[in-house]
Amino acid sequence: MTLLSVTNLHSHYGKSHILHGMSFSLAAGEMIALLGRNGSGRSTAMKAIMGLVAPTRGSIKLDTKELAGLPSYKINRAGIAYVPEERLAFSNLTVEENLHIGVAAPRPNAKAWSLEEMYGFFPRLKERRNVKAGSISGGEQQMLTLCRSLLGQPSVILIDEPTEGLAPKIVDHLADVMRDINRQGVASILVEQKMTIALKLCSRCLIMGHGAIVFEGTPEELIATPSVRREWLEVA
Amino acid sequence: MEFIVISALNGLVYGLLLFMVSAGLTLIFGMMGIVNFAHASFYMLGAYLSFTIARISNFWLALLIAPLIVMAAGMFIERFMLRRVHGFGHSQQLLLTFGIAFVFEELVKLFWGNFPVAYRPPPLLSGPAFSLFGTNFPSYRVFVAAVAIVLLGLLYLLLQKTRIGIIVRASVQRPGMVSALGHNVPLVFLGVFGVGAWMAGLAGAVGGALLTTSPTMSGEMSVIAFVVVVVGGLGSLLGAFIASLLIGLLTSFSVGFQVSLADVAQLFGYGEQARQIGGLLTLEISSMSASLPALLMLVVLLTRPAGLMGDRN
Repeated sequence: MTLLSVTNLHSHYGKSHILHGMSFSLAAGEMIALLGRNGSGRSTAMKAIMGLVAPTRGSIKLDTKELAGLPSYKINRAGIAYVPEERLAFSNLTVEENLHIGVAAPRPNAKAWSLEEMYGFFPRLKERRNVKAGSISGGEQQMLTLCRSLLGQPSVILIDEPTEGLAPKIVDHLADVMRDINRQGVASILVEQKMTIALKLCSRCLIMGHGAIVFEGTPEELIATPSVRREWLEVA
Repeated sequence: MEFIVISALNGLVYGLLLFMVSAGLTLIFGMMGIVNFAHASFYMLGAYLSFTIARISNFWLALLIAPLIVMAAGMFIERFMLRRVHGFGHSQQLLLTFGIAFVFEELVKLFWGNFPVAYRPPPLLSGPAFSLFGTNFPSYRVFVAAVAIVLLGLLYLLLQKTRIGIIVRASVQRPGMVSALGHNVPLVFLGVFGVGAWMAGLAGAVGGALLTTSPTMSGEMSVIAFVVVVVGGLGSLLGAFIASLLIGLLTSFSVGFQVSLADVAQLFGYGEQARQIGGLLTLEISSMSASLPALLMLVVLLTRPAGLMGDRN
């Protein structure tokens, strides 16, 4: 059953045309990877879905609700959460205050996430809950912003490059948590540079190039087609 | 000793009043990046409205109602005027709020005349609160200070201890992200603008009877409030608080300080010569009290360009 469908999405960043008619869909409970080189438009796609960059054309539907053109807070309240690449923790607030900002009332027929569960995922956050978010490490900030978004009780979560610049041990831990979140029913879109994580976690891989989807398939299919990888992913 | 204690008390009262006005100004700047030239107009409006309401009913009711009317006016301005120019940059906002300040001043002249009105403290607060060294300290000054301190406490609790406060502080830093977490940021802005206007209105309602209620009060307050905000650091509440008290004390001490450069020269035996030269050398500090805050701003900007508590030091 399709939960989120993006059809012919166009978007501009200032005067440059970034998304050129992007289309894809996400099923309820599914986890997909969005791959592509730098500049292929992955982050802009996430921002456009979230309403942080205005889509100039096209449709974004969650169930039957049209989201294109709505302000971010309405898109969030409809059930989409966003974990930005830049993390954007509120550095002048404590870790726990950061988490409080994300909290929303649970949705009917969906699992409700609690603060205690977040601390269960990442005991580090509990230890540092009274520390200003500006003084915790990059890995901890990533844990924090993931949890902050999850507390909004989303049905879809967009996670933009969560493992960028982090130590392998933290990357593995984050991957485990993201898998866990997905298994508990939150459909996820994972934007990644590292193919290994995407292949490990996701049931479907989408590759972006020049602002549109240029490949769609299972991890096995992606592995079996080196030409696609060479053309759209590998950096020579 | 008497001079020091009484000047300190007067300075604190004036400083606290300044803080009530500049708190809203700095909060609005910090959150929305709006340099609101009309902010001191809210202060003036609060004074005139409470003067009129106090006449037809009583002072206490005026204190309650006038700031609420000012708050409504502030929210109207944010929602229907400032929000429309948002996104066109600072100069449009600046021109708009500048224009609004003019309109308010002319409206006040139209309804209440060009001259000060006789806005006085209520009889209950007209007497002395206590006397020190034979000088009576007016109870109304104590009342003004108490109002400001209670307000300061409430503002602190609201910002630090409530969920709304957390959202406001987060919106100051990253409005886009706060919106992506499901909060209606424009509504938060509207609320902050309203609270800022309410505080300025309340400051006018109590301050009008302490100082003078005249059409020039907004212009005078505007200058000082901007000095406070710049000295304290744009967007910093703590900075605004420190700068308010500093400027309050500076103003009140300098008024009573009849010393000039010639008096300093006297110490070295050149007093006569200095007095013959005159000009700057015989200018007493008391007659410069109005320009001292500007001097303070100059010194702060030269040494700490982002202000005392500013972020970019």
